[in-house]
Amino acid sequence: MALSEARAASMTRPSPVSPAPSFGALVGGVHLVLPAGVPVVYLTEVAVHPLAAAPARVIGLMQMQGHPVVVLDPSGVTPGGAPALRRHAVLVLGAPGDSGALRVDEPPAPIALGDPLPEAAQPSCVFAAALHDPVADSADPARVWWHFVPARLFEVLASAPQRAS
Amino acid sequence: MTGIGASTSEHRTAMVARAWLIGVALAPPLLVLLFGLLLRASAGGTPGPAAFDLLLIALGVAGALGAVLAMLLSVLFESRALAPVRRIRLTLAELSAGNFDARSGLRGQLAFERMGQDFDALLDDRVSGLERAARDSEELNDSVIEIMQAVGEIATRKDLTVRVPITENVTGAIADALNLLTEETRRVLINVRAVSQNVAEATIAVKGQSDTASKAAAREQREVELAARELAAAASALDAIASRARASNEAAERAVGATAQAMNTVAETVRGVARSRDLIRETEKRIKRLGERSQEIGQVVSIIQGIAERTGILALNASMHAAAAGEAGRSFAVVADEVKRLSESARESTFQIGRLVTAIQTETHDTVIAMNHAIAQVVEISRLADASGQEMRRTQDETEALAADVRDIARTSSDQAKVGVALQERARIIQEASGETARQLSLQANETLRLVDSARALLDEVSVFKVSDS
Repeated sequence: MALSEARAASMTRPSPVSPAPSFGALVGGVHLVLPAGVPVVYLTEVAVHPLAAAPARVIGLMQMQGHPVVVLDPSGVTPGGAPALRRHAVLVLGAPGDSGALRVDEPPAPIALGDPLPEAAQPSCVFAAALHDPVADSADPARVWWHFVPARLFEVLASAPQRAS
Repeated sequence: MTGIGASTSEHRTAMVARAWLIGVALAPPLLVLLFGLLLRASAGGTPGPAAFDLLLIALGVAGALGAVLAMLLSVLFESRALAPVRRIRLTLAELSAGNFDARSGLRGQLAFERMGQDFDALLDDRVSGLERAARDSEELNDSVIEIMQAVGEIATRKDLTVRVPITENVTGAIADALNLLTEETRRVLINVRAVSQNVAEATIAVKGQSDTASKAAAREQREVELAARELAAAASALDAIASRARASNEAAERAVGATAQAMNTVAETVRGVARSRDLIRETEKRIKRLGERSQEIGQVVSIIQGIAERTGILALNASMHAAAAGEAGRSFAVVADEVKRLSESARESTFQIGRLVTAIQTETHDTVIAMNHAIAQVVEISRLADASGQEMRRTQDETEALAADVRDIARTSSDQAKVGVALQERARIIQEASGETARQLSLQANETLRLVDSARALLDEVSVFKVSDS
């Protein structure tokens, strides 16, 4: 498709009126449903300043609208206490001044939730205790979406033990 | 002279002497008488005076007396002067008859008598001389007979060893000369015999040589004929070579012209290649600049892509905020969705632009590589064209040298063809001369045969003579 045609198509396409969609993101290898009613901002290439003597899952601080925001890495792949400034894609949860950030594996996207899966196996991750109410993906039955509470997740991650090397 | 003859002559002499005396005595009066008669006739026949007649009579008488006197004087002269002469004449008649003892016996002092005495003395001397001559003649006859006998013996026996006896008389010198002649003849015959032998041997040798020369001449004639034919073939071949050399010369001239034209073409090709190289380099620069522009476009596209990404994130966040706002954020969600589609469209477009730019960059890079390769090829072609030009220049030089050589060959071949024709003519002349030589040698052989026969005959003739005692 030519650029002009694509642009014309995008400009002339009618806006669909549909209920507010749910968004999900892959965080630490687990598909999480972003909680409704919580301000969420996805940022890329965010400068994360490392913190000396920080917990294992805390990779540093970022700045948002003048407020420092703690950045946590649920996957644990980022070495804690790294001296250098790094850039990461993060998902900021919460209102400014009362928010935290999670390093995400993939950017968030609208998802189609299916039926709940109460029997779904708990994922083997350090923040499994912060997960609840698994839901099936209507588009992909093999995928399981987990709900979480941001404060609880931050707490679990902040208290997570040192990652085994 | 016989006695009758002498007497007749003597009588005639006496008669003449008498007639003369009478004539002398009668002449004057007769002349006077004749003169008087003439005068009388001139006077007209008329009778003259008597004195004149008397004068005429007197003169007639005087003349008659003179005649008588003259007759008397002649008788006296005959008796006194002619007797000794008659005696001498009689003596001469006896001598003529063979009486060498006859003498005049005149004595006296008269002239005819002294002449008779001298005549008798002369007869005495001559008679004694004749007697000596007779004796000498007899001796000479004897010597001549001996010489003739010796010569006859030499002629009969062919014996050159015979010698003529040498006498004291005049034939001695003749005999000596004959002996010398015989000796010289013998020596010459010896030499002639030796020479004849040598001539015979030489003639036989000449005959052999003549035969050999005849054979050689015949062989030479055959060789000359072969040489003439070979010369004709060589001349024909030289003509063909000259013709081919001329054709080669024309071909070489055409090759020189074609090479020059090819050199011009190669030079034009070199210039065209150089122009192409410059054009390709200029195109390469432009394509590099195009690549740089495409890189700049890529950078711009990256910027646009970043903007699209950020717009997408912005739309995502707006959507998430709208979702978080619930029912209040529904209209905002529509805007966020539009922004999201716009960002997606922009991202898709920038992606396509990026792909196009990447493709352009790749193509440009490949084109630059191809250009560089083409430049290298053009440089190589230019180098090869230069080399071809140099090779063609060398080829042209070589072709021109070849053409010059071919021209020389053509000229030399033509000259050689002319020389061949001249050689043919000379061969023909040599052939004729050789034939003439063969004919002359054949004639010479015949003449040599005759010469051999003559030498043998000469030897036989010379062998007849005995030239030595052995």
